[in-house]
Order: sequence, then C-alpha cells, then structure tokens
Amino acid sequence: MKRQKSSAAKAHKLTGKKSSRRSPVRALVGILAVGICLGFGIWMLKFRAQPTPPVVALGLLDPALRSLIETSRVAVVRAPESGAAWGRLGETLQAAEFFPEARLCYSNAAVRDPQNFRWPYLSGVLEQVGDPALAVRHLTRATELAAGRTDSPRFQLARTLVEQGQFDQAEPHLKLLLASNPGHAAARVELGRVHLARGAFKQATLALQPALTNQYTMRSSLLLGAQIAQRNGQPEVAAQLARRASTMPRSFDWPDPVLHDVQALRTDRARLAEQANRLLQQQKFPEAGAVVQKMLDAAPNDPEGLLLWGRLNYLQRRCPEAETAYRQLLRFQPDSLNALVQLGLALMCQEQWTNAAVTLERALALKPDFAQAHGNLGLARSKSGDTAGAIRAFRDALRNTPGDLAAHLNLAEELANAGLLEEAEQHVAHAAALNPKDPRVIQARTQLGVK
Amino acid sequence: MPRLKTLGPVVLGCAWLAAGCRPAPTDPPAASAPEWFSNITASSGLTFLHRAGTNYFMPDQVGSGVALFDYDNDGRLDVYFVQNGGAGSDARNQLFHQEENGTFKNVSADSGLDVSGRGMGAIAGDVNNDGRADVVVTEYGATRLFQNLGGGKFREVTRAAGLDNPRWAATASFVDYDRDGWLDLVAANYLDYDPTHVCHDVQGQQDFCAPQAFSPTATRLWRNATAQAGGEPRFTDRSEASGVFRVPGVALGLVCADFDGDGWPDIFCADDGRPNRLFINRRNGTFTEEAAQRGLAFNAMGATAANMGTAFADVDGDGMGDVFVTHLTDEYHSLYKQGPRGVFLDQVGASGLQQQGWRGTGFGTVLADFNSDGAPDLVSANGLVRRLLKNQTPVAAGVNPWWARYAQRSQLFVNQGGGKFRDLSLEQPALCGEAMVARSLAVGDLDNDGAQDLLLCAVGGPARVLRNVAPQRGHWLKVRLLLPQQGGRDAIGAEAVVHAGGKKRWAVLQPATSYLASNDPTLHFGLGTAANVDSIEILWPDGGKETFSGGAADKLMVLKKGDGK
Repeated sequence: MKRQKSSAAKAHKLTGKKSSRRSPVRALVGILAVGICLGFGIWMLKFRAQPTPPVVALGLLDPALRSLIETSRVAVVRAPESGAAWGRLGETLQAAEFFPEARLCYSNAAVRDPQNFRWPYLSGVLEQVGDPALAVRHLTRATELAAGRTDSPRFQLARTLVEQGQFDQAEPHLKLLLASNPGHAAARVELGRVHLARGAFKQATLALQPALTNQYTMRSSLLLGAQIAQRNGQPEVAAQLARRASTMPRSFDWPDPVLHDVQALRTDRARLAEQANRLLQQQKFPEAGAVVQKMLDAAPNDPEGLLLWGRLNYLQRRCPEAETAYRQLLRFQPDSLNALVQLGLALMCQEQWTNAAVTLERALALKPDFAQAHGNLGLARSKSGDTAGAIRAFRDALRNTPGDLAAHLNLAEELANAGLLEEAEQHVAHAAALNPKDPRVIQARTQLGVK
Repeated sequence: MPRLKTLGPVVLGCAWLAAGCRPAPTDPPAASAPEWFSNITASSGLTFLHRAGTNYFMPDQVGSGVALFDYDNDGRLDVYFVQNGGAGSDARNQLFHQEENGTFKNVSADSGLDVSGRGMGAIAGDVNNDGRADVVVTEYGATRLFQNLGGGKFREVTRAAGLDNPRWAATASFVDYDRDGWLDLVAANYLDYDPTHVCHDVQGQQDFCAPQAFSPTATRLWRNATAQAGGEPRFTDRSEASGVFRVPGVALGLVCADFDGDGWPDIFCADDGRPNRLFINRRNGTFTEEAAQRGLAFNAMGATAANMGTAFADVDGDGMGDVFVTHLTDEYHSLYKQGPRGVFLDQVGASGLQQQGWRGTGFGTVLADFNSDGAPDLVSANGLVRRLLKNQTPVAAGVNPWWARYAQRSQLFVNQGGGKFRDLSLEQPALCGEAMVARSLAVGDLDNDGAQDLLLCAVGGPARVLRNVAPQRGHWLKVRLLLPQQGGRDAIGAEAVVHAGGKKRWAVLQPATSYLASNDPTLHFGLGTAANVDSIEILWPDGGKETFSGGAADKLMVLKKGDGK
C-alpha cells in the first residue's frame, strides 16, 4: 500500500495535477460514463439476443434441402426468441453440412431453450472431432438435461471419453447406461473396448458376450473378440472371429432418435440414391423402385436415377427395360462408363452378344484397366464365336485382377477350344490352387482330364 | 485529452461488452520459441513446381511423391521428384544432383528419369545387386522400373523386367520377402477409378469423388528373379501365388517390415476408407491377412477411416515399432502402439495427438527425432481432399489458385518422451505457417550435419526444402547398413538397436514409408545426452544377427554385414 501511495504521488508530481479540486467532477463523469456504459451494454445484450440467422450459399443445393433451410430461416426471423426455431434451422444446416452455421444456431437455441437437452447434444456431436473438450462439456450438459428421457447423450459422452483415452471417466457412464438398459449392446462394446485397452481380457470378453448377438454390434464385438483372442495367444480363434466379422455387412450405427431426425431431413437426390442402392443390395425391389421413381419424377434424366432404374430392372431380369434406361442415359452422357458396362450386361442378358461386345469395347476404350468389363467382353466374344478375341479379353482380365478364378476357367475353356491344351491346363491348375473344391474347377478338370 | 484518458477504460469496457465479453477469435500468436526448420528452398537449388489438372480428375488430387537417394554413391543425397501431368505432358519428373557445396543441380535432361506420366510415387532400391540404386515409379496405369546404369544414366526396363501392372498404383515398396538376398517389389494398388463418374458435395458443388464410390483392387507382389536372368532386372508376378490378391484394398500407405517379430517381413497397407490390411509372411512364399486380429485394421473406435500416410517407429522406447496412420480433418489420426510383440492398439487418445492447434487432413508423415533427444517426433503434411468453405491462410506463394481451396497448414508434434506428444506447430512458421496442398513428405539428412531435414511436396505448388535448425539438439548417430554379398546395397528390412546412455533405441531400415515417398536410407538415432554409443545390434534381412561396437557419438557409421560379431 505504501509503495502504491508513493508511486501515485510521484505520478501527480510529474504531471503537475491537483487531484483534490477536480475529484467531484471526475466522480460525476465517472458515474455518467458507467450509466451510459450500462445502458449501452443492456441495449447491446438485447440486440445480441436477437442475432440474425446465418446466411449460406444455397445456389447449388438440392431443391428439397434448400427449401427446408429457407423455411427454417424464415421461422427464425419471425420468432427470433424461439429456441425450437433456431434449433430446427441448426438441424437443417447440419443436414446440408453447413457445420459452423449449425453450431451458431444450436448455441442460440440453447440460450432460448435452456432446458432442452437436444441443443447441447447436437452441439456436442458437432464438436466431437474438432474440439473434444468442448464436446465433453456440451454432452455432459445434455446428459444432465436428458436425465431419464433418452440415453443418447450419455452414450455419446461415454464414446467421446473412450475416444480420448479417458477410460476411467467413461466407465461410470457406460455402467449407468447398462444399469438402466442392460440391453444397450453398444455400451457393452465400448465397455469391452475399455477393458481391452486396460488389458483386462476376461472382463472384456464378459462385457462383449451379449453384444455378439445384437445386429447392431455383432461385427464390432467379433472384431474386438478377435483382438482379445490374439492377445490371449489363440491365433486360430482370432482368425476365425476376424473371418466371421469380415463376411458381415458394416456395423449399423446404434439407433439415435435425435441424429436420425437430423439425417431424415435430407431428402435430396444423393440421399435417395444411397437409399435405393441399399435397398437393391438387400433385394428389396418394390421399395427400391419407389425410391428410384421418386428420383426420376423430380428429374427424368437424372443420371444416377437412370442407372438405378436400369439396375433395378436388370436384377429382376427385365433386360429390355434395363437397356432402355441405359440407352436413355447414354443419349446425353455418351461416355458414361458405368452406363456402358451396365448396358453391356443388359445386352448379354438378351443374348445380343455382338452388340454387347461392341458396347464393352467402348467402355474399355475409356478405362482399359476395367477387369470386370474385360471378363464380360470375353464371355460376349466367346458366345459370338470369337475365340481369339475371347482369349485376349480373358488374358486382360487376369492382367488386371490376378486370382480371378472365373477368368482362369473361362480362359482355359477358350484355350482348349483353340487347341492350346497345355496352357488351358495351366489355367485350370491356377483355378484349382485358388479353390480346389469349387464345382466349376472340378467340372473343368473333368472336361480337360486334368488331375 | 485528460477527459478521454479518464474515459478510456470505460469506453474500452463498453466496447468489450459490445464485442460479447470475449476477445475476438484469432489464431493464437506464434510463440517466440526458436524454430526447428528453416525454409532453404530458394538457396538449395531445388526448384520444383508440381503440375496437376483442375477438373476433378481423382489422380490429380492424390499428388506425387519424391525420392531421396544417392544415385551416384558420392555420399550425398540426391532428389527425384515425380510429376503428374500425364503422358506426353511437358511436366516431366525431375532428378536433382547434390553438388559438393550442398546445392542441387537439375540433371534431368538425358538422365532417363525425366519421363512424363500420371506419376504417383517413387522408391529407390538396388534390384540387381550392382551397388547402384534403381528407381520404381508408380503411376495411374503403370508401375515403371528404371535401371541405374551409372554415370547419372537410367534406362526404363519395365517390360523387360516383367513388371505389368495396368492398375492405378499409388504406393510401392521394396522388400526381400523370401530372404533370398534380392529385393522383391510390392505395389499396393489404389482403387478401380471410373474417370467418367462425376461427384458433388452435399451442397451441390462438383468436387473430387470419395474413395467409397469405387471398388478396391488387388495388391501386386513381384518376386525378384534377376539371379535367374543373368543379372538383368527381372521379376515374376507372385500376386496370385502369394495370396496377397485375396484381400483387395484401396492402399495409399504401405510399410513392409516385420510386424510379428518372426524375422520375416510382412506387408502393411493403409487403405483409404477401408480396413487396413496386414499380410503376415508365412515364411513359405505365402501371406495371410491378419490386420483385424492384430489391431491394425480399424481406428481406436473400431471404425474404418481414410487411411493415407504411414510412419513406423518406436515412439515410446519399448523396443518395438509403432504405426502412425494419417486420416482426414474430421477424423482422428491413429497411433497403433505395439505390445506385446505382434499386436497393436490404437492409443491416439492418450498420446496427446488429439490436442491440436488446428485440424488437418494428413498425407505424408514421418516419425523422426528432429531434436535428437531419443524420442521420435511427428510431422504431418496436410492438404484437403474436399473443399472447405473456410480454408486455412495464408496460402504459400506459388500454389495454383484453383488448388489453394484445398490448402492446409502442416503440423509438427514434439515427442515429450514415452510417446506423449505436444503440438508445436504454432511455433513453426517455416514448416507450418503457410497452407499448401501438401502430400508427399520425405525425411533425410540432406546436408550431412546429423540432423533430419524435410522435403515437402504439394499438389499444384512448389516443393519446399526444410533444413533442421532445431535448437539444443542432442547427440546423434547415423547408421548405414550395407550388404557386401549383395553388391554393397542398402540392407532394406534390417533392424538396428543402438545401446547408449543406458537406453535402447530401435529402428528399421525401410525407406518407403510416409506417402508416395522414399526416405534417406541411412538410419538416424537421437541419443540425447549420451555422447558415447555402447553397441549396435543388427538383425539383417536374412535373419542373421550381429553386434558392432559403438564409440563416440555424432558420426556416421557404415556397418557391413559380416563385419560384426
């Protein structure tokens, strides 16, 4: 204190000011300034309480998504105090991958709708990779707010902690999840991961056991099980588990109603195409047809839609219809490799071998290393009686994809037809080395008299 | 004025309130800590501008690599840059010779290496055991071999050598997988690209396609059959017989080294958007894929990631190699720590590598002990594959404006010991201050001063030479491992353990790591305060073990097989 006083006195001495006479004026000015400042601050806070919703470039966006964002933005302009409106705008922006803008909206939603877990939850999910510490804060808040209503925030919080290597902090959340929902297989997988990282293999195995039969977690549990077996000195078991896992489709994401809502906002063509592809893989043809029809209703010449329409028909052996779809696409995209290859298949399906060969040759001119097209070209040429051409095509297929059992056998057959028996036998031997039990190999061996 | 002075803090306070009671968001200012690297591109003579198209053709985006190797055996590293202009383009690969004064001279003309193509990576290795490093260049549609004839001349012998790979080969590596003393070749092909396929981002703008849009391809393995061809480079395709074709993939990264501790080299492929593959050598000419059970297939959360660049070094000093794999901006990189031998676990969460000043899409990456303290540090060469609305600035001079939209700043992480890293990027303006579309990154001691330097290559921009000027570097040892019985070539695949100061430091000689790159074939060990080396144990590629005596640190030791105990 003493030192402070003396330095103040020193300062006054230096400036030659007399503070005692001017102090009432200064106090008045000070009070006035503080008042102005407070008023300005309150005005600013009010002003800041009504921020303008973010503007994003919508020009090239899919019409459905664009309209959704525009409508949500108008809702915010009309009701700037509505947390729900801000949140909805955030969700539409997140769906369109305008992440910084979505973050801003969630933050405004959380201010205006502070008891809703949804906004800190979605903020937390957005921050998971960019700023994990912030994600943990948001998700912790969401977990508190969600108490008992949904376990999504706690699960995401636990996952974020596991990903950060904070196993001790993650474990209680996983145990709470399992206490309230023993069937939460995804929590079991994460608990298994925690135990594996700690080297507690027995506990990891126990944690994973119920997750092995759940369709959402089966694959990831098997993969963790394979790692545990390998570390336990059971390489054969490990290999077996890894093989089983590799035959399964990719793991589904654990159901999350909030994220599902956000994802469901996307009804654009790319999303429809994804849906249609998935349905085609599952051979759900009527459902796939409905989705593709929706794409073509919106844009009759949509390349992806036409490819999918052709594929849908081809898979149902409606080959002329498939051919029509591909030809329609090729009219305005004559160099579509995919359309050419698919058209080749549609023509082969109608036994138009020469036309198919010409089409596949066009495809191969665009992409000479397209092994599948070489193989199909070989078949088309073979059927049209062009043995030499078929041999060339099958050789090219093998150049591009070694170990193609069908190509070896097809080549062997053509070589045999051309009288080149020794080389034919070599290719049958190759095929046999790849899979001696394959019925096609057995048949080829019989036909060629190869032991 | 006095009134203003009085009101100053109040006005400032009001302004602070108006600004939202928090400082304006800016990049934290660079600390005044000394830099670890100095940009010596201009003075080095290594002027190379990478050319790439601007029409969303995917091979353009993958970038092109660089090889550091001593093609004329004069004891100084030379540099070979790969171009991506396409066949017939005037953008040709460039060979630079390092002169006695440490500068580089472009000697491409008539070298036989100044070829054009859709170039991806380059690796150096002596395929015919004549003591001269030959070069393999991977391309979109080819894998080409150039035989070093001596005198700075190379001859393409792809067809004569039996190398036929019409696929898109990105990364390649030499490996003596059958331990017969001849370098075999792996080309881990990338994807089955459809150039007519057009992709858009969610916002409707055309952008590069993601790898998931295309099918995987088979990895190729060629056995060296030069011995049977009278010394002329010759290979036989063993992709089918070895079994590596059975699990196709989308490889961008590759590490050929012994992953399971049996003394036989295995093949690790970092696959872009797919599970990584680890082909374990069965010691009979065949391989089985075991990445999943050995913990290398997926990231820490069991998910597939965009696996790209690779580094293989012992980050925690336990005597076993750990694997680092770079990923996208919106993914975490993976640090697979080995232990016990032959099994790995992604422990990136506990490594400190998730605490970063900024996020980056990592391609080239090296684990090298830049400050020679005994713990390898990490560099990630960053550059986007999908446009960001707000990209990083400032963008380095010379970057094609079209590509500048994909530019990012690279990163440096210091290993604080035990595999715990700290982001040092903000203090590194020469390496990390300007955004580039960085891809390939090679490491080596360019000036033979015992410190690891860097060569950073970018898509559509100039390459950058970064000289190591890290302060307070520790003692060091460089080890060159040679095989006299094989023409005196580098012992690719050999492992070395240096004993010094009561500590063991492990490294493997495998130049073909990082991304599309070939690094300095001389091993570098940081020794910290240890001024003397007790001994050096070598596990040679054929499985033989030898111990060499050490001596004073801070020197290059050339160890020849047969000279040890």
